[in-house]
Amino acid sequence: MESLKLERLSKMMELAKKKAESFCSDWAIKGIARDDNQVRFSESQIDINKNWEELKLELFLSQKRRTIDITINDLTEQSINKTLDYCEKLLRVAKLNTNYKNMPLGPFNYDISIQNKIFDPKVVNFDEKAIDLVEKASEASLQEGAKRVAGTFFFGNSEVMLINSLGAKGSYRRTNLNFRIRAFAEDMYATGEALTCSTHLNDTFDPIGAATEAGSICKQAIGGKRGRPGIYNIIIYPKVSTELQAPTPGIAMNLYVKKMGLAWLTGKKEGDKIANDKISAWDDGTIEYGLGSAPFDDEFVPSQRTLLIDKGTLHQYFCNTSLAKKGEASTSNAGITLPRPTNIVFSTGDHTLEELMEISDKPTLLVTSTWYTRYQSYAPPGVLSSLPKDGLFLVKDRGKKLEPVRQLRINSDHFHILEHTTALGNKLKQVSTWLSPSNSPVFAPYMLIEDIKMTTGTK
Amino acid sequence: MKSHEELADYALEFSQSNGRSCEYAEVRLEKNSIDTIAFINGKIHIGNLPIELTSDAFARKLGINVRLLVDGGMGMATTNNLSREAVRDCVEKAYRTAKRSGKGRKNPIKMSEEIAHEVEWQSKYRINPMEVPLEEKIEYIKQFLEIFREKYPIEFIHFLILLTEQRDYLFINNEGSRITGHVPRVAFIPVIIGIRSGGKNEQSLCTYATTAGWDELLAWNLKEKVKEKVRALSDIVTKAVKPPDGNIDLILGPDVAGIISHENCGHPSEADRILGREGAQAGESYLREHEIGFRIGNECVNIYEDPTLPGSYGFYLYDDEGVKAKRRELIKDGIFNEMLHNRETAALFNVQSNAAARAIAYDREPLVRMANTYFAPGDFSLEEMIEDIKLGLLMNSFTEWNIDDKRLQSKYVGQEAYLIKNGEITDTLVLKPMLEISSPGLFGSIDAQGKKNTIEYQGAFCGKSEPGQGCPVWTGGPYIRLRNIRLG
Repeated sequence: MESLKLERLSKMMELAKKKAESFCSDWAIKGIARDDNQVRFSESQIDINKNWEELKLELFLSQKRRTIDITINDLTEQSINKTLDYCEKLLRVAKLNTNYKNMPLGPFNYDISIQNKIFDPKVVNFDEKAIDLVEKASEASLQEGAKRVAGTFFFGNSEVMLINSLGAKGSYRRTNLNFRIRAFAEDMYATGEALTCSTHLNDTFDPIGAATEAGSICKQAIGGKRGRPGIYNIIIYPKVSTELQAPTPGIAMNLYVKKMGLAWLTGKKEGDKIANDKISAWDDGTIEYGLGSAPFDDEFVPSQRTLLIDKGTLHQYFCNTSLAKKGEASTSNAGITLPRPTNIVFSTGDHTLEELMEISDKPTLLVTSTWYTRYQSYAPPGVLSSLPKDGLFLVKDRGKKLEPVRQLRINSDHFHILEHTTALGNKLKQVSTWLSPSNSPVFAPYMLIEDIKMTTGTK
Repeated sequence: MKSHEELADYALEFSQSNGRSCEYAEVRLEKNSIDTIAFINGKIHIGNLPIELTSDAFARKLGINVRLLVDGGMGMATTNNLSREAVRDCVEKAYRTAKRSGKGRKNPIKMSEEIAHEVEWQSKYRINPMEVPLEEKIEYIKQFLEIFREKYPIEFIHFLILLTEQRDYLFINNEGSRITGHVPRVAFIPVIIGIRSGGKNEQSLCTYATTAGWDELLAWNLKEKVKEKVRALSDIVTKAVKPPDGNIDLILGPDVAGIISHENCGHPSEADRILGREGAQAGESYLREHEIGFRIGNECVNIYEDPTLPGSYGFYLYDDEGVKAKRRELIKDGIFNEMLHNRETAALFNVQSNAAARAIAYDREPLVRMANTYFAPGDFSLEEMIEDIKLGLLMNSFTEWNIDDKRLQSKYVGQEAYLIKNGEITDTLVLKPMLEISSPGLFGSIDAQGKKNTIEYQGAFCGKSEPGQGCPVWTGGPYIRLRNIRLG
């Protein structure tokens, strides 16, 4: 990041700080400088190349436990002053926020090695090479059998600076890479999608591999017929877990969301069984190459690995300092005001994808992607449906043969999904998708879910 | 924002200088202010929302977007650093990447030829919602809390959101357009979950939204509507029975008709989807395999799209490529009649843009978007639609819904749905009737649309693209009747 930009950001933070000090008892200011890029492509051609250069402030302001948070991207001096004057007025009218206690005093010990796990200087100034990479990956997918490809390649870097009213001050840098490709056959309903994401340009980021996988899925999906509705075992690719399993640790186990009653775990407490024994899940802000990793959260609490689901049992909700139980510490999930997940990490099992298909002893579908997951209600048990989008296959002869099928819809609920996830793949893959209910990055294996109701249109 | 207008002019001028040659250049200077006040189970929350309805729910944004077409390739760069150096850097990045993008294209991007406009426009309103005192906004939401103090046989979780915003922008391009726009918006969004002990529950999310000002929102008397909704949720949870088996006739209320017009017709009519440009984002369209003139449904089916509807949540008079807005007739007499176009897709189809390019903020690309999509009125009163139904359902509202990325296979789960027997609407509430149907199956089942006086609109945030753009829209229609439907 150019020093001039960071100087400007620091100056704006200082301006906001002076203003905040004049009327707030507690405050925190997060300054973010980001330089992001996107190459968008479709019909195997580049549609547009985008660049975002942005400086922004996220502010948390409190006056005698009345709180407010605001994002300011209009960083003119006049706007910062005007917005903060407005916030002062708002705080006078706001009621007591009983959820807010205070910010943690520390002192803390930080693992400085995390910085190297999330920043790769090679990603900065990658822009010219990005189009070459997209073109090569597209070609790989076409070679594999796709007739045309579409996708996005996001990459960039950001610098986060944080200060608060307790005198704490810190910063870190992060890089991000996210490549997603969708391959289409001549038959427009035969498609395959794959993605790869990381913080580093190394073997954890493999666009050619993703493109090849997408091409291969789309080729196998050619000639798919409408599937029969009924009850199936489904074996899901890691990215499908962002729609089906990850929303539980990523959304419902956010203590703030639970307190509001806006999640299906309402009424569930620590020690309750909520999933199959095979399922453990963590929030892990320290994981190498994790897009959600950072040295500390927005309250300067050092990042940690927090066990959320322990072999099927609800172990702990994630929270910030204000929401932590009396005598307990934050789980290092503070956003500028509300708790937020970092990276959701699932346990692995000991199966390959082929073995999962082999052990499934009921009619089985292989689901490579889904989208448009929608809820009937956030209340328990979290009834939802989700649509398989790309290659969907009926598993035959215990996986020796895959028959493409179409037009089936997953109808289930989060309790059923977690209880019936009975076998796991032996490798984790980082997935970060743009449309799934849980926005955080997820590290997940292939998963086998039993007895899922699949429906289709009646006309 | 006025003080930064010369920067936008400078950016456009700079894009044409130093030997740069752009087939097309545009600059958008845009300011967005958004305030959100919510009451979560009776407690006030001021700030960004814990659930995502729209990005940056409490924010101030100002920046510049430069989009250039160079050698058939498109480049876009944005900055909120409003200095000459940053703007120059922005133009250079957009130019460099556009040129490189164009190199590999077999078909160079072109823009349709359009009239340049020099105009200032704004939505008509009396009271700007952004200028309403905070105390008044809080009092407005508080009136709804009274509803939940009444006694019901079930418990409620309620999340009452008041979202006020203002968009101001200057658009200029190298063809001589210079357009300023000003639109304040307000939306009241009650999210209510009714829960009976034992777990049976029902959730409702409504969006009452307008660009016609704070006074318009007040005039809607929403307290009564929300009260009715709460009563209905209570009845659904405690009284609703299983839906009937076998084939039935189905009457869909304006809310359900609206979402169908948006999802099954509006999205698939977007030309960028048809061309594959959203293939990896919002998806493509089943209409890719068909041409204009394809019969998509029965002759009575008419679905329109109109950004110029006064007071509508998706209101605009010029789109974000400077094209004058007008009504679009997407399905006319059951025929696929018109796509939604921006200038890029219009050029490919050799037609004029019909002004569907929209961006939600300075840092977003203008894309083909809907504004206000609705079933056009027909000739039937509700009574006439019901009178010959032996067994059927009146589905007034919906809960869960989804649709595949080609917009072919859809699902709508009914919420407030009443049994119709022998030509009369009964008091029997039906629990979660599921309409799972293809788009052609749906449009081919409609045989009646209600009269103009039954049209209602609902606000919504239409999602598309990556990074996402939650675009304010209205969806609506009159009652519509579907024949011979088997529920899922």
